[in-house]
Amino acid sequence: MGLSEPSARLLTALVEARTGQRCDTAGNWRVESRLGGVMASRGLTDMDELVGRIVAPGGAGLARDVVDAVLNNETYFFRDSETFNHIGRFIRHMHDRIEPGRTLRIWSAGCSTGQEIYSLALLIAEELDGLEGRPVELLGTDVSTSAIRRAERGEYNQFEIQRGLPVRRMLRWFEQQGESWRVQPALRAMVRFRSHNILEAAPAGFFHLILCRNVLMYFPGPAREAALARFSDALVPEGGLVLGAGETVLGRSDRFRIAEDFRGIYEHLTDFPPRAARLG
Amino acid sequence: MRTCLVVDDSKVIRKVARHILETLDYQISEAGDGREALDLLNDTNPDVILLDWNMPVMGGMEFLAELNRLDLSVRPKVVFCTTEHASSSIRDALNAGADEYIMKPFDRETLKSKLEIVAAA
Ligand SMILES: C[S@@+](CC[C@H](N)C(=O)[O-])C[C@H]1O[C@@H](n2cnc3c(N)ncnc32)[C@H](O)[C@@H]1O
Repeated sequence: MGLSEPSARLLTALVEARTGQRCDTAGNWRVESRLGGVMASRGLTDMDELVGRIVAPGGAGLARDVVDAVLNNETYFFRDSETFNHIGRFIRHMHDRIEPGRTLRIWSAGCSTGQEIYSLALLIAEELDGLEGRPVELLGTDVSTSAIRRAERGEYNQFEIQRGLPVRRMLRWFEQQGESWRVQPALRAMVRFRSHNILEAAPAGFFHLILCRNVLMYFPGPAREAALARFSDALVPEGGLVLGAGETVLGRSDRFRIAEDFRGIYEHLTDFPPRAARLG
Repeated sequence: MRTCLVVDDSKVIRKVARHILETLDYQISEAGDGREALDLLNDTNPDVILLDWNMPVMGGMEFLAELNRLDLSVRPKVVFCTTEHASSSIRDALNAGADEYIMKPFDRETLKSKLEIVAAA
C-alpha cells in the first residue's frame, strides 16, 4: 500500500534531519519501490505501518535502513571523465608542492559504493606512477552504512563495472569472481572507508583535496553553506574542492575561488581569517 | 550525427540496441552477421561497430580480422558486445583489435558509457 500524505511528510523530515537531503518522498515511485525492499525484509505490507514503526520506541535501526533505502546512491567510475583529468593534474601539482615524505590526503565525502574513490586510486596507481612512493591516504565516507559496506568490499556487478570504466582498466585492476568483479588488493589497500555524516564535524586532520560530488545539491541553502565551511576548515590552504558537474560554491562560500588551471576544481583561499593549518 | 553499425544475429538484440542508440542520437544500420556487415561497409563507414561474437556465416572475431585487412582511411571503433564474459575472452578480443567490450546483457547506461569511452579515445 502506498504512502499517505502525513507519512510522506514524516519520512521527508526524517531524511532531512539525518542527512540534510531535502527529497520529496510523496508520490515518488523510486522511494516507494525502495521502501518495498525494507518492508519485505520486515514482513510489513503497509507503508504507513512502516513509518509508524520508525517513530515507535526501538525504531532507530529501522530508521537507518529506511534512510539508506531512500538516499540516491547513484554513482559510477570516472564520473564526468574530463574532470578526472583535471583532478589528476591537480594531484600531481599538490605532490610537487608538498614536502617529500608527507602524506597526501584526499577525502571523498558522500562516496556511495566507492566507485569515485577507487577511480582516484586507479588514477594515482596507473597515471601518476603512485606519486613516486609518496604515502597517500584516500578516505571515502558516506552516511549510508550499507553503501560503505559495499564500498569496502569493492565488488561490482556486471552493470556497475561497465559504467565509466574502460575495459582495459577493468582487466588490469579488477578480479573476476563469478559474475562480479572485485577491486584488486593493491588498490583496496590504498583506500579506507568509514561512515560519516556531512552534517557533522569533518574527519580529523587536513586534506589536500576533497571531493563532494552530487551530494550537496539536495541540501537546503544553509546546510550547504555549513558543509562548505566545514570542508574549508578541513582543507590546507590552496587545497582543492571538487563538486559535481553543475554544482557551485559561488554565492555560498567566500573561502574558495575557481582554480585557474584546473577546470572543475575550487581552490581553497589562504587569505581569510587565519587557521592553524599550514601547507605541507 | 554519429553512426553505428549493429552486427548481431539476434533480431531482439538489434532492436534493443537500435532503441537505445536512437535515444543517444545515433544513426543506425544493422547486419545479421559478419559477412553482411562487411558488405555494408562498402558504402557506409560508421563511427562505431557494435559486434556480437557468435554468429552464423561469419562470427565477430573473423569479421574483426577482415576489418583489419581493409584499407580504411578512418577505421570504425569496434565494441564487442557478447555473452562471453571470461576475462580470457575479453583479452582475446582486445588483442584482435577491439576497442571496447560490453558484456551482455547491457542497459542504456552501459552502452552510453562505452560509446563515450571509445568516442573520447
Ligand atoms: C548521488 S551519490 C554521489 C556519489 C559520488 N560522490 C558521485 O558523485 O558519483 C550521493 C551520496 O551522498 C550520500 N549522502 C547523502 N547525504 C549525506 C550526508 N549528510 N552525509 C554523508 N553522505 C551523504 C548518499 O548516501 C549517497 O551515497
